[in-house]
Amino acid sequence: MILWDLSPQKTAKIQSFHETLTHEQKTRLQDLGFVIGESVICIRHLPFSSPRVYQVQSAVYAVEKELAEKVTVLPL
Amino acid sequence: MKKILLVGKPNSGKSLLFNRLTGLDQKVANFPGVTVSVKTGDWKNYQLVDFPGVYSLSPVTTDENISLREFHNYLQDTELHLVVCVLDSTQMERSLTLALQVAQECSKKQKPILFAFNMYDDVLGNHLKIDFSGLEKSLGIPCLPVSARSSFGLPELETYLEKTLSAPPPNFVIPVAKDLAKKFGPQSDFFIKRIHRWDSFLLSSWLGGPLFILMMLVLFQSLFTWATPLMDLTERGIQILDQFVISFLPTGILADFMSGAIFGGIGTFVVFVPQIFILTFIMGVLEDSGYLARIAIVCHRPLRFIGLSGKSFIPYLSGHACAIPAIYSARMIESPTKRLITILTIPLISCSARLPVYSLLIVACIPDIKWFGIIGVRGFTFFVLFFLGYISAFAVSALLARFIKKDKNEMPFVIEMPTYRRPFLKPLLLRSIKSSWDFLSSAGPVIFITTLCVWILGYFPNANGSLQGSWLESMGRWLEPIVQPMGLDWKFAVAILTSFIAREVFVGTLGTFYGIESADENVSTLAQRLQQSQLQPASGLALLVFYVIALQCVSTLAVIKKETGSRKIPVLVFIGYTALAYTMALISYRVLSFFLT
Repeated sequence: MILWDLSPQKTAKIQSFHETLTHEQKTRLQDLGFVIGESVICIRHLPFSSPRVYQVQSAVYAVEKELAEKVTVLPL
Repeated sequence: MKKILLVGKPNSGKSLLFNRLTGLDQKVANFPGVTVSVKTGDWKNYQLVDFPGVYSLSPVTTDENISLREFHNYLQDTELHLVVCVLDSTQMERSLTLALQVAQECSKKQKPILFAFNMYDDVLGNHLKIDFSGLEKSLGIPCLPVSARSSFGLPELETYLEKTLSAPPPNFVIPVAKDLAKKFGPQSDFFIKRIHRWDSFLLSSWLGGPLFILMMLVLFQSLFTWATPLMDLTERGIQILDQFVISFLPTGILADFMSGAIFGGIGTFVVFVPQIFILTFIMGVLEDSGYLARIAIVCHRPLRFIGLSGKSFIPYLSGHACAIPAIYSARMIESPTKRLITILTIPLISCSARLPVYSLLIVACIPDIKWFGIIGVRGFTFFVLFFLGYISAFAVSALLARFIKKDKNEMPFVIEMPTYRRPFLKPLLLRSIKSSWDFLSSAGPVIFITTLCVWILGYFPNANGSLQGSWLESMGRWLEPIVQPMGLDWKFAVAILTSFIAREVFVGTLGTFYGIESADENVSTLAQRLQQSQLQPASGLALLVFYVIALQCVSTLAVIKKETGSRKIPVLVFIGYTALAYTMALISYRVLSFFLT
């Protein structure tokens, strides 16, 4: 499943990045801790397709749909 | 001079530490990306270099590329004494990821490094701790607890900064940050829980948006209600000072000059300092608490439709204090297209320089009544004007987004949510005092020279306290046809013309006009005089619309030129906004005249 579809309070492991992600976009995600094999928790969904809130490692990020749907995760 | 570098991830408190050590006052706030360029300052016999925060040593944006190239150049400098890597103690794992990369670079170049764990008072305050001696042994790098905010651990850090430390071993292998944080870091997810607790309220699905609008309403309402007693006090002080000074002067040109130009022109402008103070204070609370990043999220989706990013809202909000730092802070927006659109629309956000103009015209045109006994109509008009600034900015953004070509490698929106922190009163007060002083010192000389010119042109050749037949009247009559379609007379034509130097000059110029004709000089009197001069409400409101849109700030244009690297853009922006302001003011006058008569 894609990261965007992860329900609030659910945990998943990052599996892969979509091939349409540019090198810079992938690098930025990895810098923030979104690396393959890392656990990610969906904290919150906001209305009107606003960015969703995720916890990776000890940090919390808001990620917009266009990015979160390019990350494949495996729910735990 | 020997150099000490300060590096770290965004929002780890490097700049606050830099300010503490150098005594400088570089902008700090609780959201990532506040520092946008490399800053230097002196500490004892050393030069301190503060780098913008980065997430890793692999640059993604052009700005990151520039600052990292500069960092690598410094690493090769023989004068480099020490690299201080500033870590956020409340986010140990994330901070260590970058710190360990920096340590490896220092190992390669054989440069000494020190890890300063900032915000450690927050860790201790929650009965948690970090095992520094264990971490130090494991890494072979000195690790110190500090808090730039409360000065905790600063004396020890200063001792270390002067020491000659050894570089990490040449064969330094990066350990796993997660393992180190787990072994030596605080054994609790307290800080994450704190974020979630507050976010469940401030980012709640249905409360987040209305809460934000309510906060903005309170902000603008308070600008009027809270500032009024302070403004009255300042006004009274100026009146007493005027009477005191005049009593020593003989009747004649000198007394007229003091009363008309100094107390009439500059005095009316000084009265607005309390409003600037309150605006900076409230903006500081929003910035330091960590709420600004949440506003960026709430606003992202609607802003995306008009070619902006949620991150654009942070420079927009900073723009309420002043457009110049706001334009610089737009560098936090990774997308070049969105950054350009943000820069070009920031001048439409009502800045503190517009406050005196708004206040004067609101008092002159809007009755002092309250709706439901709580909402002051004048305060609400303030809110409407600020809101109108946003509407204009959004409309122009939507238009620009259609014409500016999108970048293929555009970075999608992802923002780190800072930990909520209680803002400290002392830094907030200092920042507000500085902002008020900057307002006075930067606009003061301009206002002084302009009011002096206006007073001379208005006082002579009559020299009898009448503007009729003065040089200024001749000049104003020549300009009058431009403002006449808005129901305004020649005095306003001159005041608008002078305000192209700086917006605040509008109030000073009108103050000088009425100062020449009368010894009274305070805002309410000036507003009453405007009412007596038969200023129609429709004309006053049209003038307000003009000031919401017009770009009357030379410094802002200079910064736009610097940030866009183009000479044409600021010229086009100036012409475009002036034409738009005039057209909108004319339309407003026509529409309002129809309803208000």
